[in-house]
Formats: sequence, structure tokens, C-alpha cells
Amino acid sequence: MVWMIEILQYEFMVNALTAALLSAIACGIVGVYVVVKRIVFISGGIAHASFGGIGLGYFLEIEPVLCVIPFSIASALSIGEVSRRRGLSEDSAIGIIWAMGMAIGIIFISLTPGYAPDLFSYLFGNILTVPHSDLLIMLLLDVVIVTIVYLFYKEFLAMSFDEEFATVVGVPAHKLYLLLLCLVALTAVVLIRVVGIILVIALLTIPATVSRRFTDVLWKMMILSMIFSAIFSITGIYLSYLFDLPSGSMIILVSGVVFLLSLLMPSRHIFKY
Amino acid sequence: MKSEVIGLRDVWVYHDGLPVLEDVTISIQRHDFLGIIGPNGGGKTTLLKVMLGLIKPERGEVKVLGGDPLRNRGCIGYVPQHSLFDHDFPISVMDVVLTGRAGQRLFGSYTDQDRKLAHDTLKMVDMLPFAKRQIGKLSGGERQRVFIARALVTKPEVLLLDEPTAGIDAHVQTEFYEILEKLKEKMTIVMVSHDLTAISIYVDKIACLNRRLFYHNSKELTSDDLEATYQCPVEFIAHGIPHRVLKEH
Repeated sequence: MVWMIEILQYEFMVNALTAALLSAIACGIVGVYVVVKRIVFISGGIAHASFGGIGLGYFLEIEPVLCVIPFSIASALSIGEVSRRRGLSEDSAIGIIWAMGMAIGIIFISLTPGYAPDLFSYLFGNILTVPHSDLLIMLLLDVVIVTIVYLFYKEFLAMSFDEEFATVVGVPAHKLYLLLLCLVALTAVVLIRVVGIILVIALLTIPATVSRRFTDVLWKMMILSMIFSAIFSITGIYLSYLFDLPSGSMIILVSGVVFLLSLLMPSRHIFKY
Repeated sequence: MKSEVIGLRDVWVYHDGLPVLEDVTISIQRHDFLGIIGPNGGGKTTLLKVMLGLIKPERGEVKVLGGDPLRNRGCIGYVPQHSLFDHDFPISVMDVVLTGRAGQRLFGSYTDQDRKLAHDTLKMVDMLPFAKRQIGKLSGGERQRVFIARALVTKPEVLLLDEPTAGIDAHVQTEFYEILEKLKEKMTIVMVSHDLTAISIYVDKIACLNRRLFYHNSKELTSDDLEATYQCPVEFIAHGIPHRVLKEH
């Protein structure tokens, strides 16, 4: 624990660890839905398409993270609606919007005069450079996510388990599904600073998948998955500090190794129910 | 006193331009126990979904308890084809049954009344000892009883079952039908199945569906009927003259 005290003397490290904890809340909760509802690929599409928002932010000279929020919500809603159309397969719709969003981002960036300095950090994350303002945005998004999931916990559970039956008993399942995709979009925004757009999908899936091996109860999965996510991020940050390697990739590598180890473990032995 | 619970008049449903249901007309009366048989792809599931308001027909009229099916959703309990759900989903038996109450009011958690109803319904189908079990860790028959409980927890007037005994062992099926026997005193039941033996033993009325519906409001099947019913879908595909078969009722 000595390294903790050592690195906490740097402000950027305090910010990085705060960002890790704040992102753990969002991806712990929403990641569980992504995994149990099997919308991993949709979530990847939403996260990647949100790159368009980064580009737009550069172009309009607005803080890119603020620009990503409406852009990623728009791409979440369009993926959710387009993929329901008859005669269009869901994965094609995802692939198209995934690529369109990124293309729009690149066009806006090339239209912006000068060089885009932080571009690489949006793509691959750089938790060590998270500014104060971003922490505030992350905190706000966490509050929104936690509130919505708290209010709609039973509806989300019913919709995730059996969308059609939920509709039959009067739950507005399709609207809730779109709302869930919006939560995925907001989580992607939270995670951009931590692991970057390209790696968002790892933090949405790995902690939830690992925690699934410990419990059969959705809310317990959420809590475990927050804890795992926080541990992965903090360990990743420490290793990246130690070896001077990119933090986002180190976080994913740590997560991946733990995931592989969890496969060796006999499942669901800790909490029976 | 008999009265119409579900009424379909001249209902047409198309899927990608091809008719799935053609000119279907049926009147289901209170306390009917109706079995619908027919070949795979004959539109049986579509017909149930029309009654549930999940599919809006291109033409024709659907009435549930005299009104729009969307308005009367709470009155219908639905047991979908059980093969369609995710066995690994982290949800307990109790929570599955509670999802039947999820549409009662938005926001917040279930009320004590919801929990009591779920508890009582699970008890009725003898699944209370399994309340905390994850849904995937049940046998096919046990799971089907849970899905019946989920459908019944809204206190419906009509119960729609889609292939409820598919993939379930024969002796477990008998237990399952005994539950339906008890229920039919209290409610209207519509069951889609290709288990013709069971249909012939337990149901009171039978309809045959292969895009077009053949229904004569008939009761009491004899062994001749049973034989005829077995041949019904076969005849249907071969000659397209099911009426000849069904008229022998």
C-alpha cells in the first residue's frame, strides 16, 4: 500500500483514481445489463459511433466530452430504432451506424484547422490526464444512471428477461430498451477518459462477466461488477505508472487476465443465491 | 351465462407480403378450454400474438372482453414457448413470477400485495420451495409451472399457452395438464399445441389452423375424432381440404 501513499501525492494521480472509481459505478451497473441482455455488440456500436461527437466538439470548439453526450444518445436511439425494422438485420444496422459515427468524427476533425492534440487519448483513453471538469461530468452522469436504474429496476429486469412478456403485462418494454441504450451511451461517455472509445466495450463486459460467475442475483452482480471494475482500473493505473505504459490498455489487460483466471474457478461457489 | 371473451372477425395478417393468417374468424366464450392444432408455420403463435395485441392485423377486427386488446392486456395471461428464453439469465423463480406484476405501476419496487400474490401463485403450482432458485436450474416441467405462475399472477380471465408441453417428459406433462384441469373451472384457456393426444383428452373444443382456421365450436372428442385430428394437419398439407376431416366431428 506504500505505492498508494506515494502516488497520491500527485494531483493527477488523485484525479485518475477518482475517475477510476466514478467509472466503476457506471460500468458496473450498465455493464451488467449489457451482458445479461446480450447487447454487447450494440453497445460497441454506440461507443464507437460516439466518436462523431468528439469530432463535432473539435469542429465547434466545444469541450468534446460535452458534445459526445447528445451525439452518443442520438446514435443509441438510431441503432435501437433501425435495428427493429423488418427486413434489416440487427447486426447490419449496428455495423453501419458504428462506422458512420466514426466517419463523421474523422471528417469533422479534418475540417478543423490545426492539429487535434488529444485525439489519441479519446480513442485509447488516458486516465492520467483527466481534468477536474471531466470528473464533474462523470459524477453527474453516474447520478443520472444510478437514479434511472433505481427507479426502473423491476421494469428493466422484466424487460431484459423477456421483452415480449413484459409488453404483454403492460411494461413499456421498447421504450425501456431505448432508455437502456441511452444509459449505455452515457456510460460510454464516462469511460472515454478512462479507456478510450475503442476499449469501452471491454469495461462494459469483463467486470460483469466475471461477477456473473459469483452470483445469480442481478443487483449483487452490479455491486460485484463495480468492485471488479474499480480493482481492474486501479491495478491498471498502478502498472501503467510502474512500467510507463498506456493506462487504458493496461486496465484492459488486467481485466482480461482476471477474466481468464475466473474461467479456471468453479463457478458460483461464493454466493449460492 | 356464456359470453364472448375473445372475438376475431375476418382477421388477415401478412408477413413480408405473404399471408400468415387468412380470414380468421373465431369467437371464444367464457370458460372455453380451446385447443388449437396445426402444422408448424401454420400461424398458431401469430394467432395468439394477435389476441395479445402484440401483432396488429392488416385487416379485420380483434376484440378482447369487448374492447381493444391493448386496453385489456391485464386480463390475459400468456405462457410463451419456453424454448425462447435465456437459461443463464440471473433471475430467481420468485422474480420471474413477480415480472408478471411489473406492469401494474411504473417506478419503485413491488408492493407487499404483489409479493403475496406471487407467493400464493407459486404455492398453487407447487413451486414455492424453489422460489429462490435461479430459473435455469429447474427441469423443463418445473420451469413450465413457473411460467404458468407468472401468467396467473395478474389474475387473468383468459390464459393463452403456446406449445406448453414441448420438450417435457410424458409423466410431467400429465401433472401439467392436471394444473390446467383445475384452472379451467375459473378461466378461459386457449392452448396451442401439436400434442394431439393431450389436446383430445383435456380440451373441450378444438380448432385447426393452417393460415385458415377451421373451427366448429365442437365439444367432446370421441376416438374417431382423435384419429381424425391426428390426420388433420397431414390431410391439410396433402389435399388442402381439411373440412372433410373436421366435418366428421
